Amino acid sequence: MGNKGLFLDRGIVTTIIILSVIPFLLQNSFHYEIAIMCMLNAVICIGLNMLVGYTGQISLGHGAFAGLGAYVAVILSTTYEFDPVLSILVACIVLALIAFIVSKPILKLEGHYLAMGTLAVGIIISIVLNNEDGFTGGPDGMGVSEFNILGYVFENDIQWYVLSAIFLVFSIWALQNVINSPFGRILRCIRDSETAAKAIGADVPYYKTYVFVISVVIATAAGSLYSYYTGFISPEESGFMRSIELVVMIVFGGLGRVYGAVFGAIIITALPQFLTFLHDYEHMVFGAIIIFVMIFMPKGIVSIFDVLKVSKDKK
Amino acid sequence: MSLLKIEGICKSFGGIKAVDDISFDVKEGTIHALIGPNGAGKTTLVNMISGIYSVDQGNIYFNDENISNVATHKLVEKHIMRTFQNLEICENMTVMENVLLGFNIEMNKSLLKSSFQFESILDDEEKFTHIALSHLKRVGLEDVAYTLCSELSYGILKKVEIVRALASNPRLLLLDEPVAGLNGTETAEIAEIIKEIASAGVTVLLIEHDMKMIMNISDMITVVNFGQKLAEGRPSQISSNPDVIKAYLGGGTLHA
Amino acid sequence: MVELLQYSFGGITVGFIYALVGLGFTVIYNSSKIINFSQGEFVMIGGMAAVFLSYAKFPFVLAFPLAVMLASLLGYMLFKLVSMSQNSSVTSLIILTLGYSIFVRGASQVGFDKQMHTLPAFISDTPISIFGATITPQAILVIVVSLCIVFALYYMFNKTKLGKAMLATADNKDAAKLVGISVKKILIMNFMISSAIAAIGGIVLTPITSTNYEIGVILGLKGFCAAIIGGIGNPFGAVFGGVLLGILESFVAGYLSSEYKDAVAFIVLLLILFFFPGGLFGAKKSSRV
Repeated sequence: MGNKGLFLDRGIVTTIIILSVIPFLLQNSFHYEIAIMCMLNAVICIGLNMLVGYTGQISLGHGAFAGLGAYVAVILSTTYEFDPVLSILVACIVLALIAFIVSKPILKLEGHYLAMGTLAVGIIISIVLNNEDGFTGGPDGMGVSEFNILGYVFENDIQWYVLSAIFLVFSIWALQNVINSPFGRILRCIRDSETAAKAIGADVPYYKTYVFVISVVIATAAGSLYSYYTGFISPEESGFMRSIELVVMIVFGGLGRVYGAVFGAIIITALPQFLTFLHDYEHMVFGAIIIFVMIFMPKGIVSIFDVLKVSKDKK
Repeated sequence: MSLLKIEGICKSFGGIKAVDDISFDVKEGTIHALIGPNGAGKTTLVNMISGIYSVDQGNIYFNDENISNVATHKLVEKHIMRTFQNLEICENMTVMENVLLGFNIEMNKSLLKSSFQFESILDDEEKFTHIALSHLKRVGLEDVAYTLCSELSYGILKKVEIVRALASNPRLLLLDEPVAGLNGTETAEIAEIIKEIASAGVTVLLIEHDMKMIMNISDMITVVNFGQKLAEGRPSQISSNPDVIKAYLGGGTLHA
Repeated sequence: MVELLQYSFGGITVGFIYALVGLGFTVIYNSSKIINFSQGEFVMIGGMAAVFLSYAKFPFVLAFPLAVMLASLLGYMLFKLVSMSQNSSVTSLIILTLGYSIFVRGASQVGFDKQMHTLPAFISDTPISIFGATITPQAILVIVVSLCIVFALYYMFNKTKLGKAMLATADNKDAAKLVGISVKKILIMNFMISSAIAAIGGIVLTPITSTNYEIGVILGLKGFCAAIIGGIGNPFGAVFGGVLLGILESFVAGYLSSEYKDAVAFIVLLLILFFFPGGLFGAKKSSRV
């Protein structure tokens, strides 16, 4: 947990060190792609974890929001030649609005019904993205314009790596700050007891909506960056499997833990790459790993560190 | 002066009238007890006062302001706090975090400021943590301040809930069975705490079944049965009221 | 009019498959409160296994039950995995069943292959004409088989001792244990029945829509929609929901836009969740504070 008042705590410093060292281990563009994908997925997961892990609201449709957000940004800058950063900002605003409207009826649902409701919204979005090929280029996807910040063009792996790393570190730091703040406490209170939250003066629907919108905006930003990086976008990024993948990441990593989302994202993103030698057995093994972790490490991968810490404390 | 006025309130669930035309006043600075057999409608009544249930008929006035059907979280701004029969504690948070939630309305909840660790947020944390610790000391819980609530006993959590409710100096405190499930020592401790609260000027509306405690600390008692008011008066009047005795000992049900 | 009839036939046929999937969900949900996201995979396994057994020169009368048994076995495996899981939160179980569905799909990819496959029609290929619209014997078979399963389940739950034991378990596990019902056995049976009926549906559907390792995903989701639309926990609701969905989908595809056919199930689901939270036939919930 972060120390109050300190700008950089152990976790953040360790993260920065690791992120600085990794580029020396990356040998080619493909490695960079995986690393960047891991980091941007981690950012999306940090946002999603805020909603699912900390506030206790399941969303099985976040892939669709991330994809839709990315499409808005990418279409603005590619088809309409907007400035890319402006495009992302506009996309964030548009998605925030959509998320706000969707959240009003959806967040009245609970448990399985909320899961199915968000799932349904996500699938509808992805079907629309698939079908409206006039805008989106349809199932084949579309090429994406270059990305620049105030004229500085991002065109090589190192630049993207640094940008993604900064985004990730900032997200981790911000989330840690929020979790220990009054706002964060209310979220966690909602997860444990909505009645208690009401009883201490929190307008529960307001906070649920707030977190939902924030998590969608974060997903939009990170999703957009990823599309700019790869230079390509397709409706598959907004599909049901993508939404499921994101939830698997945060549960696998550890719900309601800052680094849970990060580890989960990294492992689930990178793992399939290491399993390619298994060829067609890849999915079987992947499924088996998920099952194994859910049965034997229900609190997620990050709980390994808890066990290590407990045994260290005992010594 | 009557801080809380209940006038002719009614509440039905389907065909069942849980609360049937109940009226009473709670004078400021007193401990007012609400007693009656199980299912008499006490919790329903408190749920209506605290905005959890809607009021079918009648009115509730707090400080001469009509608060019928005002949402729970809005009542907190008017300094009305409550505890729950079924303990609504955040188990995955520490005692300190639960108590800090009690200060919620006074704290800065800006997402932006907390993300960037603004000075004001950090100062608030420090300030309220200090106050919380002193509250916890008064009830003897300073040692478990940083323990996760899921690891603590029921009796301790009951105290935590009361501390949380008191944190931001409420004017009216609704306690729903604060000593249910506690042993004699714990009950006496809570009784002391409630007396201290009242002497500090907080008005207390208390639902309880523990007769000894009720008779000991209450200024006024309202007895309900089958959703209706049965009797009202000082402890000495109530304990000798034949209708009350009949309801509890005659054909009615009683529990420890 | 003929068009309407034609779309209806198509819709009812596939609707009954959704109904079977939804029924499977309902059976498992009723007994264990688990939402089985891998339900669709049992449909896929039924069809794929039947196809490959027939390739291996098994006569159909053997291939059919063997395929169903394989699906039941997978249902049993899922039960074992779920019962091993200590953390029974909604999210964990959802992920567990999702992981299982990925695993089963992966196994199918490897054990069978990634191609589309089909079975010959069981009776004949010749479409039958009813009031000008045509329907194939296979489609009629799908409807008949599905109805048989629905009634068989109805009979079992309401008229047999075993069925009553299942209902008791679904209502209150502890009370059921107290009267001597082996809850574990009941749960195992529920999982196996649920996967079996999905598999049967998959087999009879194969001659019409063909099958491959991925069909389970969308079928599972739509079947789930059917169950919720009808009111999760209500078997007749699931059947009604499934057929209703099939017909609506067919009408939308025929009269409006075939591209948005898949969206129908989810739009209807959302409408039901918002306006009839308990489903069309479900009970209204209320909780005590």
